[in-house]
Amino acid sequence: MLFNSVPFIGFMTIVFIVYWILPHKYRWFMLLLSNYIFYICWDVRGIWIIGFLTITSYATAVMIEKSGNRFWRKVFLVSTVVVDVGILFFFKYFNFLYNNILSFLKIFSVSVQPVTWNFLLPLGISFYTFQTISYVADVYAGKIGAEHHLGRYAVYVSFFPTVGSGPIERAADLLPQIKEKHVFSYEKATYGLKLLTWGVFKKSIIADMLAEYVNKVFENPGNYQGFALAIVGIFFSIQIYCDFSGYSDMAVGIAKLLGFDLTNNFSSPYFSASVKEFWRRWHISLSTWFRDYLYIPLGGNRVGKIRKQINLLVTFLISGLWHGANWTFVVWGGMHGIAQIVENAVLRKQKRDYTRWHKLCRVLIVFTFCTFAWIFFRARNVSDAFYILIHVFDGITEPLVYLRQGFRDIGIGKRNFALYLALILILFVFDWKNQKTDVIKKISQFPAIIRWSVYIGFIELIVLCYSFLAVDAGSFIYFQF
Amino acid sequence: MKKFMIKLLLAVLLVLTGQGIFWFCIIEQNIQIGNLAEEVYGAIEIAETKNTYAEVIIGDSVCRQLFLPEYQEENEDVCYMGTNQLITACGNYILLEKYIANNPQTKKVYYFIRPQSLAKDMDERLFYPYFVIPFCQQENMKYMEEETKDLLVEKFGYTFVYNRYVKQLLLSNKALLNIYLKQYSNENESEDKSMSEVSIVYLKKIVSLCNENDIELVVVATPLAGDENNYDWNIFRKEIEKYGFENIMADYLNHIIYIPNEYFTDGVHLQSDYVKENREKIIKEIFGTFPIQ
Repeated sequence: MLFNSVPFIGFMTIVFIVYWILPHKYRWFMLLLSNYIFYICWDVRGIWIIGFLTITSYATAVMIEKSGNRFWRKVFLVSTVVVDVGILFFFKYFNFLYNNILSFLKIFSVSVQPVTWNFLLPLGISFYTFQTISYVADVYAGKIGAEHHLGRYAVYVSFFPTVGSGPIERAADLLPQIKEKHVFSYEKATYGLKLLTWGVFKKSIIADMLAEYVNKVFENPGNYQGFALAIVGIFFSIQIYCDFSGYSDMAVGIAKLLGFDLTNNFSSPYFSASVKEFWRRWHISLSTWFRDYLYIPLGGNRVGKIRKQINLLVTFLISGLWHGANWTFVVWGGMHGIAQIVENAVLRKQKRDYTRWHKLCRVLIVFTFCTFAWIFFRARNVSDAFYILIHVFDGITEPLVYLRQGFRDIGIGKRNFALYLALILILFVFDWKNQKTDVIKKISQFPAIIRWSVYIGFIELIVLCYSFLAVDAGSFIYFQF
Repeated sequence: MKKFMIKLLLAVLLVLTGQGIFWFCIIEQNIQIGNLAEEVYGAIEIAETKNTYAEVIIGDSVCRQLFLPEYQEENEDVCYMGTNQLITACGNYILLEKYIANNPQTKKVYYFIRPQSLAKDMDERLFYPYFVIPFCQQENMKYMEEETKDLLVEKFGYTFVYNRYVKQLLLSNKALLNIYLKQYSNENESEDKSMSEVSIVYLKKIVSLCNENDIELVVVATPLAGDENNYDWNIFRKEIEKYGFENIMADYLNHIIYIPNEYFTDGVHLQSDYVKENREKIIKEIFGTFPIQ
């Protein structure tokens, strides 16, 4: 069930009502049941994997805590990492690795019978494996105590708002909330509902609307050149942001309806003045995970300059690969790693307060860089990505023809384009304002008549846009992870 | 929590009221939002308008690709009225009835259509917005066979066939249309190798209509992908003989032109760049002249 689907509305209504009616001591069980029902609706077979990883990580954390022997604690930690990463590798990277080995052997004229394992990637495997790894690592490091209640721990691993596409929640943040007694908070619930609505706008309207054009071009880039490629590159930058942050907003909003506070996963990333800042604002739960469990164990900032940059590059290459089993993701991650290395080397320590124009230039440069990098992320293969980069400026010497032909090639009419532009403007104004002040909270402080006009007007806009622009509800981009 | 639930219900009520008012106004004013089946409405408008063309060309989406309304200025003799295979031969028959009624000077009709389009029946998923909504109006029902009307009502329900408010709402509201059409998958996809029942019945009616009005009817095949080895026309050939279509389709299967697969986007429609560059050549090869006369 997607969050923006009719069955989920029914599911969530029941979960919400039953959760708040039930006494606290039964709520963990009810959540666990809901989590697994949600999961089964997506992927019945995957339930065994999430169950297995829940039990193994629970057991190893308890054993780590009980063991006084440093060697055995390390063994338990390493075994968890090996099992989790091994399962992730098996489902996600086996074919990729195997095909690359075959290609490598072909260079030496060694031919091997190709074998393809056709697995459907279990829902959220990339997310909950990272959750379990971080939990066991935190227990090992003594940051938290092991959870002895298997049921509550299972709720943490399979929490339905986050199991599909994150945020990747740390046990230190979510486990206590699962244990504590929640009292219904009107403010939290209404905030959650508003955030959920904002997420639906981003995902169901903007992301799905732009997906039509992005998919058309990226599936056959050779049929396009010039501005058509440029505009879908920009569209994809916006689409992936709206798709993923929209889903995150929905997840956080849904969790708030049940009294939970989750990590804010995005913080207006396209207003970043550097690539480093971008990664402090984009997919925050993932970037902090890689910082804490890969970059820092590799040495982090505590090693020499060159080693530090290598650690950074390795972290981003692996982060790229985490997103998908394709060299395009590795290139994408590598681009971001190299960009940060260049920033570290070239940019002097800037004063905190840029002039407005300086900041605007930097924001545009970062957005442009990210858009070019996203081309690799979205392209089917590296050669498609290079084709796009090479041909994106074809015909630019005649700007009017360049623009007109581009719009015609991808099939956007003037009226539709004006609508998309207006909706994207709403998105960017919200994000821009949200950097300094919580826009949703701010609107809640308006007089009732204005507040309600904004809420109802916005929902009407969403419903009407969906009615006019409806495409078959596409899965979230990040669901393939 | 009570306060939360009450306010939530109130919000839902307000949203539904707003939607209700909006869609009521849209339907009352007969406003169509979006461009679904716009080629069909365009063709209906042409059919209901008097003009001075001596000939007319009707057909499917490939016909329309080669004879877009934008190209009409090149030809003073032939009216371009191609649409989509989804309207089936029944839709084309209704268009012709209206067209000829408004344009009695018509001397020739080209029915420019893929053999596979003639194989299509009324079971395609988008048949509803392309045929039922535009054609199932009171004034058009006289052109349909009773069996066709019964079939439509059986398939879609009386309300969805005849109620203009329902049809108008579904035409403009893509979300509702998607939900409604979900029940109509292409489970009974037509066999491409033989003419469908609806094509046979309404092609005969087109033939009668042309004969009654002393109009020459020519059925011509659109370009197909690949080469002749990819296709088996035996059944079609037999059906042309069986149903007495030799007069209008004698050379239909023999004069198909085949264009390499790489120039098609989906195996059916030609790439737009290819059409732009080769349209004149293709039309000359099929019809003998450009523009067609």
